[in-house]
Amino acid sequence: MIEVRMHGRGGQGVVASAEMLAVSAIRDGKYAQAFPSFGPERRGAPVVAFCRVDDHTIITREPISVPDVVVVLDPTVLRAVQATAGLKPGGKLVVNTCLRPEELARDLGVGGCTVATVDANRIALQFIGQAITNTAMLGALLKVEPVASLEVLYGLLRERFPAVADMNIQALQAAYDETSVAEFVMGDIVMGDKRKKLVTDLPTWRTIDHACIVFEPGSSVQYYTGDWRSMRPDWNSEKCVKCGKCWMYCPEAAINVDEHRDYKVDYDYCKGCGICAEECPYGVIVMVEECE
Amino acid sequence: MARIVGMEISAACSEAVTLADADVIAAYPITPQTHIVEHLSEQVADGRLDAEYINVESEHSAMSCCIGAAAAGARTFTATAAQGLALMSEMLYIASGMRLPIVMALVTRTLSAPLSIWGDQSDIMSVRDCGWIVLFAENGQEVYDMTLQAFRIAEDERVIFPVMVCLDGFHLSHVIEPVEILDRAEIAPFLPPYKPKYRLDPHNVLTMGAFAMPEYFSEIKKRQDEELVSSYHVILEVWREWEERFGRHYEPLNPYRVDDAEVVVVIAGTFAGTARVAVDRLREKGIKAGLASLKLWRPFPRDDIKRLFARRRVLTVVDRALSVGGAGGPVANELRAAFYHEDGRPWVASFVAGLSGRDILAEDFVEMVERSLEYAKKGEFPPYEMYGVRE
Ligand code: SF4
Ligand code: SF4
Repeated sequence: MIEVRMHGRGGQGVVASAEMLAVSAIRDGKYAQAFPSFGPERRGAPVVAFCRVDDHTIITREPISVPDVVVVLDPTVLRAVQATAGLKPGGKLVVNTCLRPEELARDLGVGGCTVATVDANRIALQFIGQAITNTAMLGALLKVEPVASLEVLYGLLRERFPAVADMNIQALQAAYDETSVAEFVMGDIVMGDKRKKLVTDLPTWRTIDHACIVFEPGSSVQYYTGDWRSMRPDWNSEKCVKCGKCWMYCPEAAINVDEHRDYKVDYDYCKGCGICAEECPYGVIVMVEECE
Repeated sequence: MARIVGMEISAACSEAVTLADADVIAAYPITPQTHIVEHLSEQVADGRLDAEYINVESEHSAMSCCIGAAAAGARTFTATAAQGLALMSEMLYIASGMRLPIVMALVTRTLSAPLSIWGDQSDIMSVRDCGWIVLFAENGQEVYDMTLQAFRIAEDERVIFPVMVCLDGFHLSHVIEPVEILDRAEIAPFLPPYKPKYRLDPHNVLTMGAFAMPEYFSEIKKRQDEELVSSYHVILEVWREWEERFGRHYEPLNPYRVDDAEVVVVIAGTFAGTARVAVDRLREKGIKAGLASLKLWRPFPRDDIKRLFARRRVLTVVDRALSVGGAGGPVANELRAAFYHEDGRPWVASFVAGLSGRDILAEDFVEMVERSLEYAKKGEFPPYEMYGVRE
């Protein structure tokens, strides 16, 4: 059995790509299963989807905690979640990034697995015109782990999305061709995120509040809304007239004013909505891709 | 000074709320609860009760208002019945989950369809797991007493749960009886003004009703269950104090001639009175019968049940509710479950009777007991029997 876990953000087609993978495998005569991680859905929030493929009936309903392959559709989720958690030794990590496999492995501090990278954002923008990377990342995945055949997947795309199938197939094929793969024998698959609470830190039924009352005011600072971001506001401070409109409109109160009345974004909380860029009367703020 | 007054039991319930000096009442009138809320609105209009009386457009809103008021720290009361309870059932779970000490009188009535306004206990049984403390009153005095006790139990810092006082629709709510009414000086030491432990306060901020992720939810629910179960001890403590102050005794299962009984009738609510008459008749016929009137439904008085019924041969459990497609009457089934692992457990004969206001006479209880004994002789019990239904 091959177990694939996909990470991305709400609205990027993470769940749809797990589903297309499973349907293609089923059409190939295999047994497959795809499902999302369940919970409230919100555009931009980290999303996980799972896909299992086997020659035999799959009966388990567990989420995939020890995947053979991890696919990361959006490089910014690497900041928000521990995407490599549980990845099997010698497993495969497939990431949408402009970095080379060696650079990414060094940045993340991972080893003991295969790392494949492709700049799916650029490919998607080139062929589809939007940074929707799910089909491109399916190409990258199939390069390292051929759980379904390209022809069947293309057929499925034509059936499902006749109007946009061709551009998606081109993106998928380009990603398949361009994906660079490197194997790292040494090291461990580790990637820490200090901000994530461990299960052992959580209260027990004896210590938890009796009615889920939150006593601490302003506890929303513990929630990093910056983890949702896929576009980032860039400041050209020289043009800023310090009018404060961006500060006023930011829905996350992520723009702070310092003692020189300079306006600065707190990227831990900026969710990348772009309202500040829209509202700034002097074009000080421009939204750029997270990767740039 | 306490004085005995002949009054409608609904009015006695309202008088108790007035004596408790409730701050907020939000209710929607529904038969057979109407007299309680009409009487209360008069009390407020006449200035006898200094409370905010909120006329709402539905029971869902009534409970929503109570939740808001209780969260703000008000002593809060409402009353409903049947479809009204069904409509507010969503909010019942929120009130208990948010641990708000709301008091509600439930004037038990049939859930439609067929459309019916008469009494039975299908409404309360439909929200059996809603996390409230549930008391059953047998007579007018108990309605009055339990309404006052309910505020005290609900607000106790070791409890902080909403409390429902069930009184049978019509058979209690519309009956005139003597009720001993207390005065403010007498009740004051028992029920001092409400000082909430937690409340919404702009000077001391906190968040109520927060979202719980799956990794928190089970722990919160486990805690709520543990605390609802252990509220039992506080309820008994409050009942003991009530007896010391006012001389009336309360216990989870009020026994009558049980000591040497071989067959015990178990019933919740006002028909326990008629069942006492039946027990006397059975004794005259030489049948060692007894009665246990179930006053505390949640938390389920498992230990009392085991103590009282250990080594009894037969229980005749009369439910005024039907678990459609289920395995017997709701009270009967919980009794069966309580004894499942016990050696020498009693036979439980489950009867469903008194649906939609149909009377249960003393002779009916006599017959149900005799039938239970016949089943016991044969050693075979049906899952339940709908008593008096035309074949
Ligand atoms: S993009 Fe601008 S407005 Fe939106 S959250 Fe970030 S700083 Fe605030
Ligand atoms: S809205 Fe534009 S000009 Fe005004 S303070 Fe913000 S960045 Fe500066």
